[in-house]
Amino acid sequence: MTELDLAAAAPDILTRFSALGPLAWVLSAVGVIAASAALIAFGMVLTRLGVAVALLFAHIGKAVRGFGGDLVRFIGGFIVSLLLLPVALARLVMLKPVPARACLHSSWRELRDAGRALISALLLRPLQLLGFSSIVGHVAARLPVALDGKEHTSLRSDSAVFEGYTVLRELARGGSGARLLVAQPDDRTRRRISLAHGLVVIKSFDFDEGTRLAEMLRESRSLDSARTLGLVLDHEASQRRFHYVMRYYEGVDLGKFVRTLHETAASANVDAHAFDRTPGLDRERLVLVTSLVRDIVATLRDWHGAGLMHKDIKPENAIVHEGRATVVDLGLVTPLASQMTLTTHGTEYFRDPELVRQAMRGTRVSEVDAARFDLYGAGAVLYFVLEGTFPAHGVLSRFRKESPACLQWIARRAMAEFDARYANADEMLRDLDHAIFGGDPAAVRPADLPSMRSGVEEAKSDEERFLDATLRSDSVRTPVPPPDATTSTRPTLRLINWWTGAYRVETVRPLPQEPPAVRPRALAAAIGVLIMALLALGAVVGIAATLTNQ
Amino acid sequence: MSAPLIMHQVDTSFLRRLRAHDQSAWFELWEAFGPVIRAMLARWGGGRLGEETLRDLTQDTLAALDHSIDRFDPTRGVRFSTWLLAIAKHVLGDEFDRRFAQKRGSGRRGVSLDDTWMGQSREATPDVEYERRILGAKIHAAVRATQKCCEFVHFEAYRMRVLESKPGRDIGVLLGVSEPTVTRHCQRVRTVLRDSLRTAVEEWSFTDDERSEPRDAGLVADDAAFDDALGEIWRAQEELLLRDLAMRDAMVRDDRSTDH
Ligand SMILES: Nc1ncnc2c1ncn2[C@@H]1O[C@H](COP(=O)(O)OP(=O)(O)O)[C@@H](O)[C@H]1O
Ligand SMILES: [Mg+2]
Repeated sequence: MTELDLAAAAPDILTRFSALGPLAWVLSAVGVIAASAALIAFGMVLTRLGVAVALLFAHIGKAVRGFGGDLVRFIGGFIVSLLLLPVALARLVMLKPVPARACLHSSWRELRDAGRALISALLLRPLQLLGFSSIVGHVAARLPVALDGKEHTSLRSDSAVFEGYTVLRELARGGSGARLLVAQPDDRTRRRISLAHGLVVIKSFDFDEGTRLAEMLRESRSLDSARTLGLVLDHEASQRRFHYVMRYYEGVDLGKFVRTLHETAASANVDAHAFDRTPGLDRERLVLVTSLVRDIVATLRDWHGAGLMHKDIKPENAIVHEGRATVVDLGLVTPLASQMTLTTHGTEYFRDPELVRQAMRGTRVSEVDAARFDLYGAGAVLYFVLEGTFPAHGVLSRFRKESPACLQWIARRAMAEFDARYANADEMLRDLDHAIFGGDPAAVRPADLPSMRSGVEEAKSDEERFLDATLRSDSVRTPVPPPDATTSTRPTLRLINWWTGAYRVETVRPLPQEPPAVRPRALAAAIGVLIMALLALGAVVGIAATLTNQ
Repeated sequence: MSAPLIMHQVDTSFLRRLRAHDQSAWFELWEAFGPVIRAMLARWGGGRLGEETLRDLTQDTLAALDHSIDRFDPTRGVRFSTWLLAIAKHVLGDEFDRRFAQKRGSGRRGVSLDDTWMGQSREATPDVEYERRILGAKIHAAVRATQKCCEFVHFEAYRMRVLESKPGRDIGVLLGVSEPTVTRHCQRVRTVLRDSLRTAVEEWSFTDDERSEPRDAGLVADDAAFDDALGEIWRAQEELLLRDLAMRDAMVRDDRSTDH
């Protein structure tokens, strides 16, 4: 029946209908209800189908996109790796073995990443397409480790079995000799430790694997302290081993992170090495690494506020995770009020010499303002991020790379003689904030730092004050606006390769608001409802036509 | 010079403290001379000693020094630097003995240190560079001590002025004070530094020629000359230490690359 016929027939239908009487009305009402119910059911099935189809397309699209990305990464990595070779050769010919070596290393890294991308494209993406995402996830987690040749064959041995956790891989060990295992808690464990998502790290001390009792005791004592910070999710001690669980922060440690930044900065400036002062990081990177140190100092402020000191602040004990630095390693955490004598544990170059001196004198922790030992470490870490190397001579270490005077000042102030250094983490934090969030750090003088503004003026004679005022009036710098964290241009890390963990430094600029993306599920549902409406209309017309024919 | 006078002079407070096994004296010794000893050991070892071993040996050297202090006779007129070197040699000799013994699979410790590997190394005798490092270490210790008892801002002014040779005016701008104020800060620090330097040299010298080294190096002079001499020695010392570190870094890098 065409639409035209229908329009013509409508008045006719109505007259016939009214002639049929009440029974017909009831019957047709029941018929319409039944038909509508059937239609709704049908529509719902259709909606589901629509969703499924949309999801299927999304799934395929994701896999294809992933495949394309892998291919691009493979080709890109391969080409870059090839291109780097002549550069390395050229440097070698120019008798510059160090940059040549760095170049070769980069080339190898690119090649390795290309290889990973290829494996991913040819093997993992098809698997993902077939729905084996969990396998892909697992392989993805394990493959880089295996490729780096650091896979520990003993992962499946007894010592790596923890009830409620599936161990995925092992991290490189730190100084204490403990094993660090990245693991996935099962659902029950998740509920027990109140961790909705993410992986965990199990730090495990095992007598059978050479952990000494002293270390284990030390760590377990620290653990008691660290528990008050809520950083320990789970723990267990048995005859043979002792382990505890903390959240896993995926990323690289600050040491590796900073060395890479400096290496790339150095290879971009190979010829500048001839000068006395080598160029340091560019402004963006500088602000980024300083803001990472800032994160550490902010953590210290909280910990000190909670009455604890970390005692082993160093680049390797901070993980750069989602563009922020997270302090890890609870191995030496000590209550500031502890009655124990200070120990010399810590790490050379990041440990305060005063701590060693006091420890040798047998001073108790509570007898000194032990939080300042952590500040020394924070100052040394600041030196490290600016220079790419540790402060070999403590506070007297020379800065050899170009970096803002105010940041050098903060590093020295934190490493200064015990009584002369920052009184607390908050004071250091305020200086750091002023330096990095107040505009260009290079334009901030040490004199502008908040810690310098109090107490300097009183000590001056009238003549000095007059001179200072004249000096200031003819200086060209403009005052730095007060720090305002909301307008900060803190650069962030953007992961450009989830597979290798490669990242790029970016400055965050407020992005124009993108229109909200249409989600496939919603789209499918809308289509389903539309189809259902059309069908319902058709059905009503159909019934009417049937009745007409009677 | 008469013998009793020498005896009096070498019985410094530092020796006394070491003899009393004062732990912080030991630490001061480690802090001041550890880097020099480590650098010498590394040179003699000719790349055969890893970073860990070097650190252990440096520690052993200072421990041996702590132990032998009771038997040490300061009247013999041995230089402090020579004494330190002798102990380091001895410790290193022990280490090599141990290695030889292990290689031969026997517990024999028969190889005398002077007529085996020690004889092969021309550098094992005190040389100009070593003496420079030792004097540099004393100056380093003095500067460190000065930093401890001066106000932070004052010391920074002096450090920038003399150790980094920044113009006084620039320092004034950085610190937000006038140039005369910078000069005054420097003056205060210099006075303390002269004192600390005297103390350090007195503590770590056994002979008269060791004691006169600062004068020979131009460190007993008017302010400007003192600053110049100090800045020069400081920077030279920094270069030496940086070279040590570069060597160390290269070693660490090698360690890492073999990891892979
Ligand atoms: N929660 C964590 N998330 C991510 N990485 C971690 C975590 N804990 C430790 N690591 C990594 O493992 C390394 C060793 O762990 P750490 O606790 O510092 O052991 P150690 O006490 O032996 O130094 C750290 O330097 C860090 O790189
Ligand atoms: Mg650690």
